Amino acid sequence: MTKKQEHFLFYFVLILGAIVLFKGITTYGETQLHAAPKITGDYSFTTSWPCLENQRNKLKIEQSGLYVFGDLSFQNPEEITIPLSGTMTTEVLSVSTKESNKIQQLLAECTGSASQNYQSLTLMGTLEKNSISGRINIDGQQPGIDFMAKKEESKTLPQEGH
Amino acid sequence: MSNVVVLVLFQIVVVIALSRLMGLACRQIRQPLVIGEIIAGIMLGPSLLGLVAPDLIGALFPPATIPILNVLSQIGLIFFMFLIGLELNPDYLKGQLNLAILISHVSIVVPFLLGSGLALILYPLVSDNSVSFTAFALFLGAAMSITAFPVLARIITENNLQKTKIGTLALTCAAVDDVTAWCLLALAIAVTRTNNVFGALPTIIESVLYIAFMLTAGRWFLQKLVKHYNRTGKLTQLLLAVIYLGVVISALITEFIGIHLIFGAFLVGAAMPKDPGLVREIAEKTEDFVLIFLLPIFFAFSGLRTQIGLLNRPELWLLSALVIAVAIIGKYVGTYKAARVCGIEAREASALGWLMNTRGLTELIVLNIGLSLGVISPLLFTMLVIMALVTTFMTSPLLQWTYPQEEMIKQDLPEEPTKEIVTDQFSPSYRILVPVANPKTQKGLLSLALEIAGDVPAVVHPLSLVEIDEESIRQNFPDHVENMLQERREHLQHLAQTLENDQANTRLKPIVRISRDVATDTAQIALEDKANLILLGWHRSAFSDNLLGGRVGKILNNSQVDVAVFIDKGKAQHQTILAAYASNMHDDLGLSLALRMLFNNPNRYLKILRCDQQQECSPDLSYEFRSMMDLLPPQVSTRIEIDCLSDPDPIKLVIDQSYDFDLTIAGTSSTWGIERQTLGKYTDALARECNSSLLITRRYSRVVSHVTSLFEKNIAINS
Repeated sequence: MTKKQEHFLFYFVLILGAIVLFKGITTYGETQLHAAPKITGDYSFTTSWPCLENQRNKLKIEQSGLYVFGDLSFQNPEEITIPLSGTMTTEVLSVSTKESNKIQQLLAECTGSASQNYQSLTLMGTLEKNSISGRINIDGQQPGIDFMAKKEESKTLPQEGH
Repeated sequence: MSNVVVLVLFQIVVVIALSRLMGLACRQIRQPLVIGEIIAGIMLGPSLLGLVAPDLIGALFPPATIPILNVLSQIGLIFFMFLIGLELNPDYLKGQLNLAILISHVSIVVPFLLGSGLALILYPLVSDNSVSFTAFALFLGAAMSITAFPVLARIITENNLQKTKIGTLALTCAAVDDVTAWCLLALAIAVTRTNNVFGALPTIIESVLYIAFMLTAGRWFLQKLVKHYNRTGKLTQLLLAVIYLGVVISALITEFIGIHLIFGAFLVGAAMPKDPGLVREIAEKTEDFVLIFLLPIFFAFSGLRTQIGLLNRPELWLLSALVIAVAIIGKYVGTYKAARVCGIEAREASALGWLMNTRGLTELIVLNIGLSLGVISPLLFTMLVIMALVTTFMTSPLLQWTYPQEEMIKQDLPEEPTKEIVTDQFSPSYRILVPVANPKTQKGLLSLALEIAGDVPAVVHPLSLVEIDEESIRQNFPDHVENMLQERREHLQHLAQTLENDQANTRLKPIVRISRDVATDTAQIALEDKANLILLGWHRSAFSDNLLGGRVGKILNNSQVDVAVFIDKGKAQHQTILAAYASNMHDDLGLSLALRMLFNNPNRYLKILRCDQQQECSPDLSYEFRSMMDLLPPQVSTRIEIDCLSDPDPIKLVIDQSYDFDLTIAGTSSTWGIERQTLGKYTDALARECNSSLLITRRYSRVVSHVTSLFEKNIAINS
């Protein structure tokens, strides 16, 4: 076998091997692996909490697969933004924050007590079509307060025009 | 003027200033500039500024300005890719092409497949169901198999590897890698946009047709432009405008085809005939603005999208570590194994493996495209940016570990004469290393070095260290670097020919190489070369009033070899020498050098001036020197006069005495006002007012003798 033929055979085996392996990996991935549903976006956020009922509240979600990061903004009357992080497993969203001063600031008006020391705020919700509904818990107190987040249509253009 | 414009201009000021600052910091730790620029971008984003001053980042980078930054960074990328294509010279593919193609393809296939395998773990964790697994695996595989061609070229030239087998092979591999990886990325983009391989087929076919068009019709048109350039002899603004238009139109075509803007720009550069004059002029006119102004904006834009804060769980840091490990292992093992199979020795194969791990800016381009297309999530983007930083950062130290700098220096040193030749000589070689900053102005310095060195086998190594402009893509490519080195060699050769010394050509053995840090490298080369003396020319430091400050001061601080600094007052020959002597080891060195000069020329005359600030003066020399003086042969000792004068101001005394001499020699001692790091009014009085040329000596080792070999030679002649 000449040197040229050896090279040709080597590349044939290399490329064929790579394609077969890649095909095997992608076939397995496409059929067996399931990524989390896409929930990235801006949501209008309503709660049954009387003091926050008529506010223009927003939930902004940035998702990286199972890992969810978000900002919950209340107009109370100044804007209070609470950063959230958590996970998304089988259509159940669970995000929380431990920024106690922000929680305190938000709830001071609702409870009328600025001195109450709140430690955590958790949102647990179920994903439905274009919306998430569930409950807000403060410091794990049950039964919590109902919330509903409805996805807003994206107004911005895609960044690179595709 | 609108507030947005003002704000964007303000952002640009901050971005460029911080990029420069971080670039300088990286240079201090011997890292490529690109690392500093990436870090500067990350610092301005949510990972640092957003963390410490969330209000400030909101005010400095409000959402309204981000699209403008994006447009500027895309324009920067288009022209950067054009420059990369322009520098992709087919000459790099000559010589070891078969070897390089084999190694580079294996070095792409292995990390690509490992990356695809990693996708099996990452896809369910960090991706969502809007992205197909195939697109995700393709992108991750492409991200793992990238090698940054321009950063690699920089590392190769900085380590003086451009002429070595490993350097040329790495560069060829990186060039092949570059083209293959861009094709892979184009495929990944096409698949991502259609979400399956078959849907991407039209895009793939259109891309292949466009590449064929550019390499035939496009190249034909560009050749016409080259002919026009050669006829006019200059790159006119009109011609440059046509080329820039071509770059933008080609970028738009590839965008419409469905791959990405950058491919069109890269294709124009790659298809451009490599006429050296035209390529040089286009690069010179384009790269400064692109690299200094536009590219840092791209880094800032990337930094704004990098959120290290997202890695807020231990398992996410573990995933990051896994991504880094797969990237490093895939590239290293693939390259190493392929190189070993091709018969390359283990250490060279290992060095090649580390070099091919350089990902730098190219990786960042791929990642930004992936993030914009939504195929990689912000979390994965952050992990991959960290991977790009780590793999680029580690290349230089690991290369140094595999291929120590000392060995690179040895490759550049002139070959030693064989043992048979030296056995009949009287002494081992006496070596003087003479750093020559500008060969045009240092004739006097080399003449003095030859006068001190004397006859063969003593040698003088003129050392010319070339510092390359870190930002320039062009200057980092080996062919250009080799041209610069050749130019320096020719200058030194010309300088040797102009010296009025018959043996100049045989005794001058130049060393020319690339350097990142002239002072440190000079000290290192002196050690490797076993130089007896470093002889430096003096020039006033731009930022220091200290006589021995700046680069001269740095060499004095770093060198583990005796050093002499020469202040040339333009005397053609040094027949009469005045040695100022104050009984310290630095003056001893001065006296030794004066004696060498006496041995080397029977017409030279030396006066040793001992000065005492007290009333009584005794012309005491050190014990070693008295013994040595006793051993001097009469033909030398009769030409030495020892004088002792009392004067409260020894500096003034030496200045007055120097009037009658060609050369004055003084050690770096406080007596002569030239103690190292002295910051007083006397600091450079001697240098400023000395009437003859001045040689300032600083001894490092008491053990090294500068005259023993001459005694031995003398005894041998007499017997």
